[in-house]
Amino acid sequence: MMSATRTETSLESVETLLRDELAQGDAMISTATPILRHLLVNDDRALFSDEVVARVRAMTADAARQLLHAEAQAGQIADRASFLSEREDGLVEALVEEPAFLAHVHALSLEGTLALQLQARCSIDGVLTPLLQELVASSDDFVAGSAMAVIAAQARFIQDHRRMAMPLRELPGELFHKALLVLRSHGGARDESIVAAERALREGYDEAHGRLGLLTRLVMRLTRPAPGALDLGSAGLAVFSTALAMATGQERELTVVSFSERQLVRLALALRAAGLDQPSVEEQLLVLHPEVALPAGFDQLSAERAALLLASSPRHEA
Amino acid sequence: MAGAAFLATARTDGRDWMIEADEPLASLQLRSGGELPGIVATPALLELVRKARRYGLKLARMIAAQDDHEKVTAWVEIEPEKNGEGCTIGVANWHAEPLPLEEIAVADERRAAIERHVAELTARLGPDQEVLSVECGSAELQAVAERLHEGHGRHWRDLVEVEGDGHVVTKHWRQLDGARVIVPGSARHWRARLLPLGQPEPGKAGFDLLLVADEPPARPAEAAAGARAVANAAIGRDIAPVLRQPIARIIANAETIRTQLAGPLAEEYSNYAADISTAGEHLLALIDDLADLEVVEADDFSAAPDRIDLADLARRAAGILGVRARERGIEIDAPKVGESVPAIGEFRRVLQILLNLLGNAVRYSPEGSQVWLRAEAEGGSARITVADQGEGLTSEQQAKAFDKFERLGRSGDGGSGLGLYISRRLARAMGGELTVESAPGQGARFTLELPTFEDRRREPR
Repeated sequence: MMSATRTETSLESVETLLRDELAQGDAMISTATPILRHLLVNDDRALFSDEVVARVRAMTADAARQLLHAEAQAGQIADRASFLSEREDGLVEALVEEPAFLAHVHALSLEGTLALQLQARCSIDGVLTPLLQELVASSDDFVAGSAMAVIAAQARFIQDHRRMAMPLRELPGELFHKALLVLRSHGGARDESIVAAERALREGYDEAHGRLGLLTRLVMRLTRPAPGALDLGSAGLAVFSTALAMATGQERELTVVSFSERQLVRLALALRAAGLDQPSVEEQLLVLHPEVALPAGFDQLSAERAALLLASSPRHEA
Repeated sequence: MAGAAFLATARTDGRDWMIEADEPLASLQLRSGGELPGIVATPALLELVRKARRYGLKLARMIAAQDDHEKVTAWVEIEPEKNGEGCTIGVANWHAEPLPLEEIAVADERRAAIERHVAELTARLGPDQEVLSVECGSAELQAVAERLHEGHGRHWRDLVEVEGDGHVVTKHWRQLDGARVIVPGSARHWRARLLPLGQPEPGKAGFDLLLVADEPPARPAEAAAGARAVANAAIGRDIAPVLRQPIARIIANAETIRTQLAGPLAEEYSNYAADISTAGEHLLALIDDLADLEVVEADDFSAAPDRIDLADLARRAAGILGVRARERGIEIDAPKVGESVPAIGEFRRVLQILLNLLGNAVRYSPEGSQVWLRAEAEGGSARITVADQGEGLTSEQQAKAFDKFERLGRSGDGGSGLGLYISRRLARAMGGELTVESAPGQGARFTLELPTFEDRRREPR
């Protein structure tokens, strides 16, 4: 009697399981076409180009490997390679589930891609720009040192970009924390080594040494309104992005995304809100989008109105 | 480099209280309304300290803070204490700048504009705050207004009771601006606003005194009803201009589709577009009619007594409707060039009547028929007749033809039933008359009669 019940129950549960799996499969099939169509004919190719998608995947995997590596080290696991390869896919999946993490990696991969494009197209170097060169020679020791640190950070960034690496130490504090939480919840029974890994990672982290922090600090230190920092040609993409984000109060990630084709209006508004006059706005746009023109009457818009328009967009707070 | 050379440091404990702080952090804490020791008062800094403590991470960010007169940006690095619960805060790149005066001025200006708008009593004061004139739109303030009016030339404060008056010695406008005013018999709370006029010294050219209530006025029921009636009667003045534009756009776009300007299109769709366009045109005509109706029904409606030539007007009307007539194969027989029938009336109104009469004739006559326009002067009055070869009207129909919204059994052609009603009203407003003669099967003759110069001279209005 007992066994019969158990058989029934397990049969039922097997069926339930199969039904669920089937439903999931169906859902995937039904969404496959729209997603594929979106990827194929998206208006804004730059945002979802094959390259960018591949980079986001690779960078996330790199972050996952660093987490697992720390765990393996803390747990003194002998066969690191198989430990990593067993767990990597699952952890990548879990990291991608974090929208903020994904958005950050996406923005970084866009920034890197655009930096290399600008280098090729307009010879705006991704590392050493006229403004940074000038600042390195500054009589203000702090500014000179900051500029040096930024140059070094940019060189690392470009190299990481080429290698599709996402060093954990470069993540903003919240995302670093989130990544550790993901590792923890994904870890299952290997608790102790994870706790040890977490402790080591947290201790080694210092946001002040991250590239984004160094950029912010440097731009803060420049006289306001930062001359040259809002000139893409002279400042370079990285300093320009940070300066524009600071001048408009937009997230830096959103600012970087706004450099893509279909975000022209956001970019133009941000430039105006940052206080640039019409010729300067046009100059920046010309570098990023040589082929497009500003909407008629844009020159009538004051910096305040532009800031207000930006602030009223729902993306502003996101 | 980072982490070195801090401008100021501070420490927080496990409750995120700031327990010690160097300047300028300490005074920011106090100015932001915090205490020392006390919870971190700057929101951006508090958030950062909390995060650093909870995550156990060294964080470094730019923070922005603002008190009532300064905007501060600073680079802060926060390190959770190794063995403690709190954090150490390092500050660098401190930058404080005063809030732009402009923002304050703009806000003031906006507030003044709003208060001017809602003020229920406005008085113009001279440079010494003496009353020059009073404008009052509220029954509640009538008594106050009268006192101010009678006290012309005196300081307004002597005429209006200001709360806490006993202690107020000063009559300086800055102190009086915003003062509570007691209005006998009013349950609402009133404030006086003094808006200085003139440059460079505010108040050089006097002041605007506003009495503004904190609560909106009670709305009497009948006033609301009256407002509704006005709203109903405001189609022509208020609504017509607003409706005309979108409808004109609908028509224009429908025409674009119909004529396939934007590319080839299936026949049905082109026909649908034609329907849309036609419906839009009817709607536009209806709006015009309603607007006219409102005008002619107004008590003070009158027409200008221009010297006009009925024959000339008839020729113009025939010209305007010529295309439509030719489309239906109808021939319009207008007065010959050189013929002239002088009359007194308003040019555009007479043309409007003729277009209405001729338009009806063209619309309701059989294809291939004729429409006559005859202008003649006879016995001190001038008249013009529009005759068609249509079905004609029975005497019953003739009796109703000039009624408002009368369609004489027609429907679905977009007419409003207002044309003849409006035309007759117009004719009468010009001292003339519009009549019809007809018999079934005999066509219809509409005759517009207008006074002539002689008429006018004999009996001046």
